[in-house]
Amino acid sequence: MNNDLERGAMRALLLAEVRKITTTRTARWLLLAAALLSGVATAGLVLSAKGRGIDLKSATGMRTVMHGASTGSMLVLVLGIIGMAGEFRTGTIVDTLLTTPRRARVVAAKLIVYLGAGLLFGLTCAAVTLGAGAALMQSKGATLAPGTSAVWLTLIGTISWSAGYGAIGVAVGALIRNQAAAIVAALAWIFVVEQLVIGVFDSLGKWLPANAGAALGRAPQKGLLGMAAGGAVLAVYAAVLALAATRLTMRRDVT
Amino acid sequence: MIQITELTKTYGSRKVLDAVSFTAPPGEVTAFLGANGAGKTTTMRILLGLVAPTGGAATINGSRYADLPAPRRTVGALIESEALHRGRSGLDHLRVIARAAELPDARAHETLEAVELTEFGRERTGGYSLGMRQRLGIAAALLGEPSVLVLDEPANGLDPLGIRWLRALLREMAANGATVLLSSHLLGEVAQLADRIVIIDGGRLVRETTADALVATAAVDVLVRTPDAVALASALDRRGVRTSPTPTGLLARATTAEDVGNIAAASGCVVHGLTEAAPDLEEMFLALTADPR
Repeated sequence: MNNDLERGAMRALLLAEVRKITTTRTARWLLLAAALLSGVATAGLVLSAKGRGIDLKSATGMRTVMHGASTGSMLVLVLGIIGMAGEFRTGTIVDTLLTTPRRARVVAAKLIVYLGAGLLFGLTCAAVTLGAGAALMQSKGATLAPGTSAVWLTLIGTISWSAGYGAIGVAVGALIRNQAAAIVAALAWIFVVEQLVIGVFDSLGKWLPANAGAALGRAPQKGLLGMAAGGAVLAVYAAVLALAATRLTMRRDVT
Repeated sequence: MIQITELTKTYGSRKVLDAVSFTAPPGEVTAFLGANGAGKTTTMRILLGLVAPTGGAATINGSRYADLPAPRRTVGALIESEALHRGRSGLDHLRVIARAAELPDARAHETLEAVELTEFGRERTGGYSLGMRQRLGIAAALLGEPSVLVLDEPANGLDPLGIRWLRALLREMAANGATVLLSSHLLGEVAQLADRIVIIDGGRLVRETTADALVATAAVDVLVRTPDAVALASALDRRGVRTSPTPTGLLARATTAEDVGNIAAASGCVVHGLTEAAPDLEEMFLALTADPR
């Protein structure tokens, strides 16, 4: 009986989080931007392939083009941060915690829902990349072979990376409650810190979260971990950040 | 029933609450008064489980907020009326809360109607006035049909009509047995509404009393009709009561009719009439919360 009540409460909380996402325009705009970004990145990869000496008919060529799907799904990290830190920015965290004083449960619900949102972003971007990639490759005399692992495995990788980033975004937003600071910190980490580290200490850089994610998304880049190892490392980062986020959220005063 | 017991909160070396204790019983409206920064909001946030106390306890019907089985169905709270996503409609704001609290969506419509916001329900809250945001916050508090209300400065931004509506609502809820605790920094604002008054200042409890008792002890101005104005003025002056002359006698400041009558009798002055002015509650409140340091 008690378990049923608990399950009912968690289900309600998950649906409330979904309702939060669907009742503002933020997620819709981010999804549109993600789809556009993926399309543009994919087109860029196809059109620049010849100049970069990449054979579009080869497995590497197809993998390179399909990895374009990951470009847009990066925005899911921003969505996750807004989903958590945004509650502190607007103050709606008060109503959220008044309804559900068990804070660990609130964080857990957000992690699950934004993991799902990441999945949706990843799927959308994968579909855009698949469509745009196939059409543009056709115009370049190459045929995309969706049945090959170079295509589907890469897309599964980018979709999983996107899902992981959705949850990581929530954790980052709980750790850094200032929404703007959290977004800047996360993007600076991915695009500046990790790139610097991998440039200087390449053996260390591959263990960092964004590079592990790139490995999961089968980025055509040297010095990364394998796909499975990248996925495992990203999962560990997500779990550690989620745990830290939960602990901190339970302890901090909401003033 | 709300019970605050020896509640203490410190931030670093700064003590914002110092062993505050009081109760808000069911069936009554308890006004929680203090100047800005006196510790009202911190007390309420601790009561609602948003802030952890350094010491002491705050309970609702004997339980900590976090331990209430269905908090929204027990307690309705308004702690921050600005706490809205400006891009979400008022109705959706309530529907989000209803969903998480396992309340039917119909409650969102009902409470929106109760606060007279139905026609603006589908508009984004970014376009709401302060008063509308406040009403929406009150609607959120009423969603779970709670038997305990905790409202931080609920009259903020409401127009006179809105304040009258709020008073009627709170009186009705208290009459039906609800526990109502509301904070304010204006004694005059709640004097007509509250049954009980709790005053804090600088994180300390200054007074916990009934509204009637507080008003009864309020110092007032007393208009004295007397042919012995000069003699009575000097007698009052000797007892520390300030006076000013009037055409028919004098005006004794910040005292009571009893005191003036007694002093007049003791000094053998003839008095034809004593009229007490309405008590200046704000003056009294300021005196009670004057920093003694």
